[in-house]
Amino acid sequence: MARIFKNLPDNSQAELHRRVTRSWGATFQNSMFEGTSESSLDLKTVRVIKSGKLSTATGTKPGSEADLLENALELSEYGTGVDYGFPGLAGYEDIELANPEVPEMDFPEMIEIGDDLMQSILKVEPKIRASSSVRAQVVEVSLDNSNGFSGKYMKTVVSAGLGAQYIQGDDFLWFGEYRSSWANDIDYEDLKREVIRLFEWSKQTVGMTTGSYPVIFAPGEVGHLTRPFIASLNGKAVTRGISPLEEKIGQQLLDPRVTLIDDGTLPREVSSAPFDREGVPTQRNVLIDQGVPTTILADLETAKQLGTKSTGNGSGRGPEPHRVILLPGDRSLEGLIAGIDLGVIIFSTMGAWTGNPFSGNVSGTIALGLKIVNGEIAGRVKNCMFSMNSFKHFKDHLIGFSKETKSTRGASYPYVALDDVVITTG
Amino acid sequence: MKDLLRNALKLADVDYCEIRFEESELLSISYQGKSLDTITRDTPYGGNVRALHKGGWGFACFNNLDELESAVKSAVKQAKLAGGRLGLESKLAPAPVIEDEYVPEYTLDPRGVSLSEKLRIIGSYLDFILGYDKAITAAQIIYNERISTVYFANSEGTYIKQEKLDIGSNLAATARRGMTTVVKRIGRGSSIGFDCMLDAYDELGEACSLAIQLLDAPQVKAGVYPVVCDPALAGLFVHEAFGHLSEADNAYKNPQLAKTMTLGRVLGRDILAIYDTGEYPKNRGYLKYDDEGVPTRRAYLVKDGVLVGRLHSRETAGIMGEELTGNARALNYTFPPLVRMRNTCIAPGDATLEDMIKDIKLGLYAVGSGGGQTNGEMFNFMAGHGFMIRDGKLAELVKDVKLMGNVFTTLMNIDMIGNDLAARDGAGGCGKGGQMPLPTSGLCPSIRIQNVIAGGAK
Repeated sequence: MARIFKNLPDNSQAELHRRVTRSWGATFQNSMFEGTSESSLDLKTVRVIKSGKLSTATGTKPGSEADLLENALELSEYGTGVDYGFPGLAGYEDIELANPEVPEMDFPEMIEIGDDLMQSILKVEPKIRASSSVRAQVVEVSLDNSNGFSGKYMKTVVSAGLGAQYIQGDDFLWFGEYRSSWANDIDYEDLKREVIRLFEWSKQTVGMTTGSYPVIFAPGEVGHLTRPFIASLNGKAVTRGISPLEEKIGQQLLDPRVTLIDDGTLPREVSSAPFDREGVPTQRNVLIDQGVPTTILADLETAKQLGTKSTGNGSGRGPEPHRVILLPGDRSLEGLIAGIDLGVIIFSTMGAWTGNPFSGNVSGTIALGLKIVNGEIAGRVKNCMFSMNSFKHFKDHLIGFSKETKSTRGASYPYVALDDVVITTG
Repeated sequence: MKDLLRNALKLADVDYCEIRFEESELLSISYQGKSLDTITRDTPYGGNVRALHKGGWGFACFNNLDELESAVKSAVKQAKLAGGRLGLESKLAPAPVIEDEYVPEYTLDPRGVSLSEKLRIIGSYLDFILGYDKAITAAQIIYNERISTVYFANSEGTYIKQEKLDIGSNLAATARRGMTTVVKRIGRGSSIGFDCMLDAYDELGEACSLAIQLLDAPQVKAGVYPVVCDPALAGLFVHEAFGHLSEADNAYKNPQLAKTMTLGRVLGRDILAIYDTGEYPKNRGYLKYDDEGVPTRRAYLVKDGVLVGRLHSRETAGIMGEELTGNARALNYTFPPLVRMRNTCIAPGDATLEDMIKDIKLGLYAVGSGGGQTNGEMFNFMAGHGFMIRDGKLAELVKDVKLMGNVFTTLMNIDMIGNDLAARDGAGGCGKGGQMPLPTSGLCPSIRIQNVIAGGAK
């Protein structure tokens, strides 16, 4: 038990979360080496429940744990009323999340990888302004509370990005891809191939007229489409009376091909953890099972309010998913494209994250989209917006999912093809 | 602190070196649904060293002041590694050597307002929202207060101790009926006082009323419209559509973009003037010195429709041979500064709202700001809600108003500028290079833009 818990006042319980992060990396911008950077951060968070009131204090000053506890105790007079306690001594299963070779990565190796990535695009088009980055991170997490829970784990993350800007007069083309892994095993050749393919596809600009079309969303954009489901199946949204899915649990809401999972237990995945931010073991949560909403993500507080158990998604700020997985389909991306006579495939958007997720409406500017004509890529579309509604389109307008999936920022998504998406052009 | 930083800088045998150290205190209060959700006190403490050698940068960040010397050595080692590879001349625009300790003139120092009083005031807005009408099912209130002392020293002799205050708050009402949910919010913010949080009831009442009315409002029909933006949305528009493109770190090593953005290019009609400034302490973009120790100044970007300037750090100004503006900003000590906006403004014109809508047969009056994004050429910006304009008059309410444009045509399509002027503040802020939310704001009038693309229903 952490020493700071020894002199807790009566009717109090406390928790100390510590996250020590070392990260370092190399960056290339504008087709040249930019520099390197490194950081070491030690973030400590103390939460206190005193007489049924919860408060939080965080800080980075060395040796400040006792001060943070004092701060949290002071705040608790005004804290949030809660009727749960921190979990006691409990077992959790270790997950393999740290690769021993990652801490050994050094700047020269990262510079070499970043330079190789950047040069791969410059070989295709020397006038392009290429950028790349390679970063590594070692994270050590520990959690102790005054009720006897004590746990710790370490994870490693390697990430790489490759992109470019191609400007001809007033025409700007941006494209790029990002990958991450628990180890230095990113398939850099595949990353280069993907980025170069995007450039080749995007060189020619073609016209598009306003209307409703079949649209394929690339895995990197699918998170915008699933946001209404994730937000609405969050215990906090349900207990606060915001979620439109509150009364839809167990009902056939979407196409039976839609199965959405949250999983914090997968080894060698950057978004996994053996236990959540509150000390509850993580688990696999099927949020939507064959079109039927089944699970509401809960932390200790919302679980108490909902009369259920925590799903291991505590974050200290309400329930949050770990790794979101949309189960793939059985068609290849090429097959999905080949099945469209006239439509669009969208690789990047702008502003799709804005708006009220509980309405289900998702719209944004198509930053990089390609027109599909007679089952083939015809060129890039510009100055277009897309608009759809996730609740409606995943129910009535789902064409299908690709069998290929991509891991992108803590999620795993296939390509998603939807019909009747509104495209507006100028 | 001054001696500590200056002594550490003596270890830096490179072209340039700087140390930034920050001690902050943050208070975050949020209400969700019908009760207090979280209350947090955060005390970030740490610093960084940035070194430049032969055109290459090194950066090291730390929490423990005892590690300052090793951070200097690390940044210097990295800069030499980078500089050895690049072998360029380090170019920084000359900046005045400054020694100053600055504290803003507060209108109401939040440290003089007790926590219980803050909770009473903010909590009263929760009660107001929830008591407004039974159609309002929830409230969301976010209040963030950050008071920082930032110490800056560089190898040229500058030493600045600068105190900064940033308050950002959103107050939102949720109306829900079945599967239809509408959220309407108002924003408050300031760099000099807690008084920005007072007297929000009238504005909140309007937001609650609108949330209920919007339950029955249709989504805007997708199409191309003349759009009149209110001052809040005009502020978001100028930030996304033009402010980011004016940040010189996009163009300073990119000859194609520099050519596209040649000073003297006509971008708009002669009624258009845009500037970015560290002035206006009542708004969140107020800044005395930037994070390179450069005094901020008003930087005109567009005058009479012509591109006349851009926003600079010392490196971008040095390489492009242009004047410093004081726009190098970092989110906190864990990041190096980037070229960022402060308060980005459109100078007012002489049109009234009535002038702007009276000759529109079918258009859109878009109100409030809900976030946006740009890639330099195209941009996206979201309004809080809108009214259709039919035959020169405001008509029915519409929701989910999301707009886009292309900067090189849209600026030219601004054909009227209002005589009203208002700021756009709230919680949140600007994002760039993984640094978000940086406090920014702007003073803008209403503007009318022809041929704007609106996403929405069929």
